[in-house]
Amino acid sequence: MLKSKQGLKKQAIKKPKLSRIARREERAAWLFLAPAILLLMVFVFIPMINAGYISLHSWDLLTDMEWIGFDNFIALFQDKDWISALIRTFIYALCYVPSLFIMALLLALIVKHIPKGTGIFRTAYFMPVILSSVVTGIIWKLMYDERSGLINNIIEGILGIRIPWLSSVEWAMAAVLIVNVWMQMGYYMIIFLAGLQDIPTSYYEAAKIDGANPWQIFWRITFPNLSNASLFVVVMSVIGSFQAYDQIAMLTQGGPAGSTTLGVQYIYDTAFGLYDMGYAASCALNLFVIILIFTMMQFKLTRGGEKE
Amino acid sequence: MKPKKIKYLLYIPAILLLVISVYPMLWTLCGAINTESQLGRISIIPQGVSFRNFVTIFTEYDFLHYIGNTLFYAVIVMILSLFVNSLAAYALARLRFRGKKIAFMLIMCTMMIPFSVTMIPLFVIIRGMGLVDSLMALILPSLAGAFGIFMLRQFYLNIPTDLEDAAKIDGLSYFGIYVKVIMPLSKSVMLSLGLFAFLSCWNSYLWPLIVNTSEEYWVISTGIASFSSARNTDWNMILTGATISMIPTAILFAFFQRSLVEGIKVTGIKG
Repeated sequence: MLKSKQGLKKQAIKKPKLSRIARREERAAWLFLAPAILLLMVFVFIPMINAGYISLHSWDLLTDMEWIGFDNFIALFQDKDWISALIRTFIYALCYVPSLFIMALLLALIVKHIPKGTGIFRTAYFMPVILSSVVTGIIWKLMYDERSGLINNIIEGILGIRIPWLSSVEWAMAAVLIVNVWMQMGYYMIIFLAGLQDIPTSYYEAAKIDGANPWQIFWRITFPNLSNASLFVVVMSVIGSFQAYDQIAMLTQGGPAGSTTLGVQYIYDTAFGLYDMGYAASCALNLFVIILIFTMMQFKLTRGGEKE
Repeated sequence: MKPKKIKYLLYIPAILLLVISVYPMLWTLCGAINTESQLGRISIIPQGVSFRNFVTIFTEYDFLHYIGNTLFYAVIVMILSLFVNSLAAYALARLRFRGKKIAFMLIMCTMMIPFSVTMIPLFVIIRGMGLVDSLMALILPSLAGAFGIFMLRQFYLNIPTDLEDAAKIDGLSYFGIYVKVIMPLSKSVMLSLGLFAFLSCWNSYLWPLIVNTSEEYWVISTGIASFSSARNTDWNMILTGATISMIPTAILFAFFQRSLVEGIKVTGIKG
């Protein structure tokens, strides 16, 4: 009795009584949020927590789970294959992010400055974005084919050699990288185009009067004024590169000899190849922490992403 | 005029990149209308046009059924996810309530959770609900999305409140304001978000592969992937299936390119 009274008092002191209108607003807000939050709870949060639970067990999906504490995580840091998959992921990100950035910016500049046919070029460059990863993966696999693929036919015509794109350790990563950049560059082109649109034309006119050449205009005006768009492109593509999976699975399935096995691929192989769910879950959580660090950096750099 | 002439030099990289972007799709189309079964002989100039592959894919395989499944899945998700996400976004953008910051942060957190982490437990949950091998297994997890909520909230924050204030004075309930004021104002952003939802369902592969192993509930992408097995790969069927899957995408894109582009801009610049 006493306790509850104290509790009530505390509440009364802490939170001033809400008016009837405010309470009605609050009830409406939570009602509106309910379906989304409920769905996210069941299909994202609970699975997330469950993944943490599974990672503390040894489990093959069929027999009973066996509690093993942090053994999976200890094994993780001594697992050469996992560490090299992570290193490969970093290398992939280091190549993917700048190539994507340059290609997307190049496409945006072309679309912006081309005298005629803006719509046609923009449409064509954007097309790969909306295709499915299965379809693009299969098409590129056919085009990369060493004996009969189109790409090798062209290269043979020019250089006289055929490159074993997907079957050699040296080339597979480059092949995978090209497909992913090809598929995503149109998306980030749109971001850059939006950024370019926001630069006032008066800046360019002033620069022209001052006699600046196109090279100077690009580095002194265009590029610095694209900082928002650039930041977005970098952060999103870093996150994307840590989650890369679909096309790689279609193209090489992580091979040859594991040379294109990135983090996510390793998790899939562990889960559905070896049926080691506990270990796969701990790898996934490890990757999640890395992605989280990069996402936090984004929020820091853009001042919390809040614009209220 | 010297600078103008220089501008025309842009056409060299522009056209080269255009060919690189579009060629794979044209080549796929050529593979589909070609009866040549040897891959190396498929060229961009078709030797003979034939629709035999299209007849085969619909008669010898159940491809029409896969299309039906995919269409049902994508359309239902498109409609319901817009409703769920815009309601949540409206509350987050406009209504005052305790716990708003926490609710928003929680929702945003889900954006950082990669599918690879939740995939296995999600399968366990769906299995527990008895939904394995059903279209519901595809639909339910795709409905609520932080991306959509964030995008809509961002949009709502930028609409002036005057109309809502007027509606409030007229005695409209919050749901009434949402339906009569907010919805009509956000047609454009809803359209682009709906298109994104449709396309991501239409193209999804991994989740349908995991959760629906029975052929009755296959979608287009799992159907296409099934043409390629360890023993033999039917290139003609793969390329035909790929062409069919590209048709609605291309049509939607042709009609709604502007909305898609605007949608990306909203998320990109304000994000």
